[in-house]
Amino acid sequence: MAERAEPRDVELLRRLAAGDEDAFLVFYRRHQGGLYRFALHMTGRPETAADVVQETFMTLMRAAGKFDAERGAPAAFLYGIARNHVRRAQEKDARYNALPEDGTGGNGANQNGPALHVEAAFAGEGVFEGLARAEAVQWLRQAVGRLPQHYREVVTLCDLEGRSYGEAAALLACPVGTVRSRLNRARDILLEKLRPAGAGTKQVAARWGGGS
Amino acid sequence: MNPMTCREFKEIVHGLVRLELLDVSLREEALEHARTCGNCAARMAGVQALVELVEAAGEDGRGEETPERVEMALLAAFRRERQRRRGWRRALEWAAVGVAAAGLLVAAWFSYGMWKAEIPHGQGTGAVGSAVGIGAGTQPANWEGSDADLMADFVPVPFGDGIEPDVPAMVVRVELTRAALGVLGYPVDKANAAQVVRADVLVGEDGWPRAVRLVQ
Repeated sequence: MAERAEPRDVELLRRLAAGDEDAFLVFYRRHQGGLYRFALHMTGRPETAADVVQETFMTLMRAAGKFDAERGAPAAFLYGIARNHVRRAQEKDARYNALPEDGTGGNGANQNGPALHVEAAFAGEGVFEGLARAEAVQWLRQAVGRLPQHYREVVTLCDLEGRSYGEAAALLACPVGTVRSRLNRARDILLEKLRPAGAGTKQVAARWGGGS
Repeated sequence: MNPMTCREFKEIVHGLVRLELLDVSLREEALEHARTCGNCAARMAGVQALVELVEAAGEDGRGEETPERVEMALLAAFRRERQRRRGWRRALEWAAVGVAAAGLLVAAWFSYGMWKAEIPHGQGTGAVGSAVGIGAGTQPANWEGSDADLMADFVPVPFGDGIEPDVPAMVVRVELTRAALGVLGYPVDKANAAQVVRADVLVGEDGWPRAVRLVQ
């Protein structure tokens, strides 16, 4: 399905570069949702994510003529621009964010609070039995937000946005194998954050050992 | 066959839980390992919890879209950008006309130099005079014809500074195609655009053409 959509995107970009407003609108509406969520997961701030989307399309309307279909899909071109704007937004945010008063570097409460509740999961309960769903989701988003950029990108695209490894590789302009290895590493990091030390090993073993 | 190690289990556990592990025997082996290894079983449960969390976070975010104000702002910016590009295109067109006019002027100047070298010394050019009241004073020194030779009087160059009285000017006779006149902004019939005509160009002190008249 994505393959069938790509030629249309190429055509839209060509018309967009020639100043066709309708083509711009169609292209924007087709990609804004995914791009916004990508930026949101990457930055963790709705306002910043909206700014990233706006700046990305501003850049696109000036640079659409530089798109080369032989070097990748239009979506990859778009995400390439977006990744640069995400990086800039993060640098800007890092400059202006005040240090928290608890001296934890902004991570302390998030790391220690909900993570303790997650112990329930390791004790053989469902993850949401010991932790309110919204709180758990919020915890995960913050944990994803603390991942290094290249790990955060693959988790966002594959795990949160549900894209295939191939799609993510195309958007990030890297091999599928790189996506796989980064994703594996990112999931391990998240798992370590999720897992309280020595929690419920015996119960979990019993659960997965078929000892019900 | 050696039993699976914890290290090997760790490498495949994410794929195992996400049902991405297609090798059935490897899957059975991993599950067997989890039955006998408490740490790996705990890891597997943790991965399961993580998958649930990630799926929940993904579902929660699925409906999120860019605020509408962004589309409005982008549309306005797109229109501004289009206007800006059109402005640039127009400027480039004018620049091209300017370059063509300058080229014509250089050609005219070159022709004038050759013509000046041919006339006897001391005769003078008699070319400098008032730009208005076009008559003998503005005709080239080797002018042998009469006013009857003129097809028309001097016509100011469109988009030029025009002809002003008492401003020193020089008349240069050139041969050029009618198409070249079109570059200066004069209407040209396409049918005879290639026809070569003689013309007197009234050149101001700054070297720019002010007016042109055709000579039979």
